[in-house]
Amino acid sequence: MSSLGAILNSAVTSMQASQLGIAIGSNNISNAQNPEYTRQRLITAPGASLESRISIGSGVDVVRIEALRNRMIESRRLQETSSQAGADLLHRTLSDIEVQFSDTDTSGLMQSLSKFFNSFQTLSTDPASPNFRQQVRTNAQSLMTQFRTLHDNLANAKTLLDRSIAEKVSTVNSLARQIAHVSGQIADQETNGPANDLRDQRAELVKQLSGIVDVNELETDDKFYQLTIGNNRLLVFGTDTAPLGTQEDLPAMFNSGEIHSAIDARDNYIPRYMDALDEMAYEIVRQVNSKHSAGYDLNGNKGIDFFQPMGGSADASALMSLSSAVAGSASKIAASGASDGNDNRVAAQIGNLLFQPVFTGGSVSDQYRNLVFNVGSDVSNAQLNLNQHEAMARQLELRRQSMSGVSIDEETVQILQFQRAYQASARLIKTVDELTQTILGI
Amino acid sequence: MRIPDNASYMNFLYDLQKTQEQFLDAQSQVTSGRKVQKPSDDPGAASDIVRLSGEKSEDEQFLKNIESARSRLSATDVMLDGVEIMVERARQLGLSSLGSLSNASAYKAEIEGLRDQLIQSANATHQGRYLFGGSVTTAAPFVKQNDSSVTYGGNSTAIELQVGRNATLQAQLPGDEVFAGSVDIFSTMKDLLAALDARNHDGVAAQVKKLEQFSETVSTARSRVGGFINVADAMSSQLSAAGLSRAKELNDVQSADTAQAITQLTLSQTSLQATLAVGARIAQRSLLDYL
Repeated sequence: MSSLGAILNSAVTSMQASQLGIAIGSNNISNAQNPEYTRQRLITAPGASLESRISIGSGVDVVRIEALRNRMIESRRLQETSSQAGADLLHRTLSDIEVQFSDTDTSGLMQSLSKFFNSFQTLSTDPASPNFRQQVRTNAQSLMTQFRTLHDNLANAKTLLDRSIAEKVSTVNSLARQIAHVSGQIADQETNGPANDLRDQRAELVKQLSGIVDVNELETDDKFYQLTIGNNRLLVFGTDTAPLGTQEDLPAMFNSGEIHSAIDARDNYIPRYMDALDEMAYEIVRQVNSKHSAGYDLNGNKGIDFFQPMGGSADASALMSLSSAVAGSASKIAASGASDGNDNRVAAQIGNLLFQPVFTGGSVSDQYRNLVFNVGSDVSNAQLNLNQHEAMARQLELRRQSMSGVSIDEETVQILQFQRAYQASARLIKTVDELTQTILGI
Repeated sequence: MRIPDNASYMNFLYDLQKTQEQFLDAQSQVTSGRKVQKPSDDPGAASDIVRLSGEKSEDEQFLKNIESARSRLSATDVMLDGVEIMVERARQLGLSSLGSLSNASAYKAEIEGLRDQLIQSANATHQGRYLFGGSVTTAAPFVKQNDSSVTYGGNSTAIELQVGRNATLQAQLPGDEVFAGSVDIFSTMKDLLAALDARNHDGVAAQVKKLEQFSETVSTARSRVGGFINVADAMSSQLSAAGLSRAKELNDVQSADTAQAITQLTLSQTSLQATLAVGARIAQRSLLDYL
């Protein structure tokens, strides 16, 4: 037989549990707007029976407060965060670069190229004209300026990426220290029970980290925490960290994340565009010089270079300049194919370089077209890639929210339930009290 | 599936962001009037724009070259017209003198005047450059010597201008070809004057014959010049036609179809408004309202 005291006890455990349940509901609602928060639940079990003959439970036992977390989704989400952040950085970087290659029929490098070569055609209509000669030099100057600007902007983009990589490496190390610190706190606290809030805090830090580098978390059954980045580079083990150094072989280390994309843009995309520009500039210098040096200037002299000759295409778009002869006097521009008179053959030949397919891969305009096309499709692919990862990241986020997110309606229902249970238990205590009165009144 | 509050907001924000992007894109197409604003909008079209704009300025240059050739050829034609008239007058004077050689000195004065005019015509300039010096354009090609002979200081280079990727057009005739070709007009004139001086009937007759031949040379030269002008006209109308179709092509790849762009703008505006309306409702439904 159960004593009145036992019933009273059972009611008290119920009231305590309900109160705890309401507190948890309140905590859930308080954090409802935080997407990184994991909702918590009160896990209870029926209290053990105190008597053996007729088994009635002894109320309710609070087992633990559980955070509703799905490890699978969490780790897929980390991967996707890496991919998305990386795709985003690549897309942003390339979009910035792309703007410079947005030619129209009135602006852009193609305009400068056309103007430069066309000024030789104009010179061919009157090779003796000092104005036309000056025009050739002016247009050459603005072509060189345009090339240099494009080159400098690409070089600046590279420098910015360098700086940003260094910053991100130090962010990785700072996050690693924080993660190790929180892991230590978790280990301390979990001797008593699950440290849900600290785990949320760590998950948030790891998520930040996963945007920068690809991460892999490992927690052993005895709660030992280990975090590796990239291709199994150990970063955090327990409460210790192995800071990332800039001297390490970063390009080979990562598979996704911002550092990976920054390195990809710096070492692959930008150099490709620069090489294409340099190659164009170098070929222009070479082709123009080869025609020019075979021609005769206004004074019947031969063998003059138009551009300062260059040994190779390295940085040609930044280094191209007029030869000192042509820079010194426009009369040194060789327009003629013969020493007597001022015929226009060489000027016309140089002008014709605009459309003649004598450059690698066609004409100079074909070369530039290819570059514009490549830049455009790189950005458009980066955009597609970003859209794809955004959609996947969103899907995973929804699945995570579905598991771990707080629904205020649901919490309201839970709180109502606990409230009713609390009220009923309180009522029970009153009933026991009345029963006791009855007994005392005998 | 549980749909917690965050999920609704997240979904809403994501959709809002996407619709806003579409709206902005449609908006800038309408305001800028351009379909391809950056290469990634359509890499193929962007590369076509580069090609077309290159071809456009190329053709504009060819048209300039044609104009330059045409104005020089017209000036040449005008000059040669004058030469024909002067030579015809000299021929008539020569013919008339044959009947009254005793009066030769009267003819001689006018013929000397004609010769000097011919030298002037042969040294004609166009926009400050000598027309008949071949590629020697900055010095008078025909120089009268003390003995009244005339020497040619130009060369035989025929100046050609590029008027198409594979087309050149001769823009002037070298003076030696016209004035000192099969008949050297200046030595003919000198010989005619000498024959008049000598009252040499046969000599005068022979030079008159040469003047006739020279007229033919000039007339051949004029028809060549006319031919060049015809080519210039043909090339220029061809380039203009190509320019028109290129302008259309460029417009097709580069410019936004206004009607379509505005329709797109209206559509994306509607969906943006709908998205915002949905967003306003997320906050409205809560169990708490019914308790």
